[in-house]
Amino acid sequence: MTEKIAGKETAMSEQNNPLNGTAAETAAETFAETFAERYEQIRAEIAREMIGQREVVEHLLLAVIAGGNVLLEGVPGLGKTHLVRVLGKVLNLPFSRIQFTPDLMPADITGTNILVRTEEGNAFRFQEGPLFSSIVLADEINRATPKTQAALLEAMQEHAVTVAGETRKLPEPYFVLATQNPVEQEGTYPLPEAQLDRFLFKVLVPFPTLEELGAIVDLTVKDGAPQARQVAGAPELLGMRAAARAVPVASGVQEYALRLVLATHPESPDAPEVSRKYLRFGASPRAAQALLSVSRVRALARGRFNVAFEDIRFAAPACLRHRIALNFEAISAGRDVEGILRELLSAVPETRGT
Amino acid sequence: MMKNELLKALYPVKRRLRRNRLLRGAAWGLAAGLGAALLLRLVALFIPLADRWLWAVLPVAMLTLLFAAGNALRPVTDRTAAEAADRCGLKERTITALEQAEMADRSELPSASEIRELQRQDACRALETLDVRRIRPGSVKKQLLAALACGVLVIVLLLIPNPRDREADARLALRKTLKEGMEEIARAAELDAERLNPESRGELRRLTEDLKRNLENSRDETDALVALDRAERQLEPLQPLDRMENRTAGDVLAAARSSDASKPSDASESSSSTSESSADAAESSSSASESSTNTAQSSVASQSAAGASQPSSASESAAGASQSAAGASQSSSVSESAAGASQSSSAGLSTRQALTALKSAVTPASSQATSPSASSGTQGNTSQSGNQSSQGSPAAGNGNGNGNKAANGAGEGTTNLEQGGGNSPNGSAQRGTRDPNYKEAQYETIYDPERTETSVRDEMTNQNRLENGESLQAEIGPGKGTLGGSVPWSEVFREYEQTETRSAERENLTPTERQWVNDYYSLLTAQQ
Repeated sequence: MTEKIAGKETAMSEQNNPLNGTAAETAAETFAETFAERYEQIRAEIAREMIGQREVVEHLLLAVIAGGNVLLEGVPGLGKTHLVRVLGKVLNLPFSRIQFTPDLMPADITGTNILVRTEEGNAFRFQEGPLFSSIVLADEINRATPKTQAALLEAMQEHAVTVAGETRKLPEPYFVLATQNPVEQEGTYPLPEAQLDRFLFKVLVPFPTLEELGAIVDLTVKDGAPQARQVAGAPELLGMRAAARAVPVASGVQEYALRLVLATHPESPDAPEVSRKYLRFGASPRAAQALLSVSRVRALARGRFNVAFEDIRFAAPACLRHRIALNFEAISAGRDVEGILRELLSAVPETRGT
Repeated sequence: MMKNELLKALYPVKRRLRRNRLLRGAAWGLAAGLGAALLLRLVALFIPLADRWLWAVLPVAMLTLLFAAGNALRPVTDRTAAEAADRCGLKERTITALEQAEMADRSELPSASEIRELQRQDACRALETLDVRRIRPGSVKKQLLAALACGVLVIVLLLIPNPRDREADARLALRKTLKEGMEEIARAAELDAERLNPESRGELRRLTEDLKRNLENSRDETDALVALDRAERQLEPLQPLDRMENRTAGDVLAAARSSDASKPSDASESSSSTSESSADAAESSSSASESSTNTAQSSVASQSAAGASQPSSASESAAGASQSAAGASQSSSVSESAAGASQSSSAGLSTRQALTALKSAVTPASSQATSPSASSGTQGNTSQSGNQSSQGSPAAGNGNGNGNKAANGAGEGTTNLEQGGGNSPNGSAQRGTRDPNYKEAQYETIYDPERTETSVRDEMTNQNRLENGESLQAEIGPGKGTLGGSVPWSEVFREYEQTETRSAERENLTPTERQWVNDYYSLLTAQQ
């Protein structure tokens, strides 16, 4: 049920977090100039094993560096699990995989107190669950019951787990990469909005093109396939994250991000027609945070030290698609979230009044 | 420091923006100017507007310059320049750097950050490599299309003949005439001033100033004529010193009479003693003839001299002073005598000649031919100045003859001054030679206000009212008088008088002309 690739001993407590306070500022300055280079290095290394899916890889990397959780949605067999595994290998981060099933219990993922026999006698000792890892792959997350899904909430948001009244910090960097199958809906438990909101991105994993599929086949059915190497570690990742947090954002750009989020609210006075007509509710403030933090990372990854409108536009669909809900009219009209988001992006001008 | 470097890098962008604004402003100004020119052309369809080509070009040039300059001089803010640069592919580098620098200046940022410095350097580098020609002025297609449309319309309207333009041209010509005339008058007044006593000199100066102001304010010929008439009247009492010394008793008497005649109440009083006034008139006439004979060579008023140099006519007219018809000529004689008196008294003033010349120049040709007021005015002018070439014509000659004879108390003729009746040496022989339509037109103009509700025309009948065989033309009409052919004079006289007096009050007549009407009936009353 659970698979642990890295040892639990690699889990880092808050005390041994390599980057906090002034260290983070120093790291930011150190990594700012080389950010784009490092980012490209990681991306290229992942691409050695991951054929195609360039945009998925980019979104995943942006979210990981920004410190967010990612919900990957795609049909089985597209390499979602493989992608996460390669990411852990390249970043040299502990990796756990949890296959969610309807009978999976919260204690199965968080860990539990077990009775152990010691020299002094019997004692309870906390047995950490698979959540205690830097990268957690929650496979087919929508197959677990809401109770188990809810057990992830604290880990995803607070990076902590509370068992038997005791809160335990999870290692940094920490992120949950969940997958869900959009086709098989029988016996699934759709994620509640509150939990969906915890995901920084919802990334759609498309089916590979003919060329990509050929390359995948060529790569995997013979021996001697190229293997990804470790090119970065937790300190580098945290340093890059700190650098991204320091990227300045112009007031106009930030306002654009906020207006985009507000535009998803049908009750907002500035909401465009498409939003009023087809949306039931809009994105939360976490969406705005997600937009700006991911845009900062992307700006640095593009060799810029400031956020541009195009960064916001790039991040917007992945940030917003799981945070808005269509109303009955949209469903009956056959509208999908992607189309509505495209319309929203074109309806909201970059600068006010244009 | 950080900001300075950034602003320095932004300078070419600002310069480019100013140039773009200049072009954009010029396009806006061109459209607005042509729009204004079109508006003025449309206004000119209803209101006369002189210098139409100037008014077509001036707004375009002015507004284009104004808009272009205003737009170009409008300060380009750092933020505007930064945003313009960012739109050329700098991806918000400049505006971010600018905002960060401003925040640093305001100490809103905790401390210097390496990433901010990197960002600023990145922005400056990008600005240095920016080709400012990529900053476009923005589309002015709409403005240029609007300007083109307006321009075409303006040209079409300029080429289409517009009656108002002709009117404006005429007005302009009037202005020019008045200006030139005023200059002439001013020159003449300067010459005359030397010949006047100090008091009169001041009066003359004030008179010319008033006239100048009035002429400047006059909107049309009528205003100008009124002003000129007023000036003429004010000029009458002024006498040159040499004239004062040489004037005869007749002049003094004529001057006294003229001053009496200028007052309507006095005129009626004086007319009550007909025989006395006739005798006086005869006396003054004979005196005037003598004086005129003496001064004929030097007098500018040759007409007056010509009229006065015939004593036989004067005595004849004095003998016929009892005739009611004489009232007409006597009526005119009141005003004419004033003119004559003033003429004799101020004949030496070149200001008066200049005034008369300007008056003739201002008087519209059509008014001179048909308009009663203008006709009367012309008559007054000719008789008063006595040196108008138009006096040679039969029509004008009749009027003058009457006027001069009346001054001698020998007025004779019809109730209609314009019929040319009377014993004037010139006029008696030409009685009734005028075009009947002309006479009727004169009447119709006077009586029209009272006869608007009837289609019946006036009839001119001869009534042998006088025992001495003189015929009298009486006018009948559908007014309060009898419609049955000949009407006794005494029955219609009062009605005529009231009607005329009312009409004179309503019409746009000069005070002098109004005075003529009053005096005319006053004398007729006296005759009756």
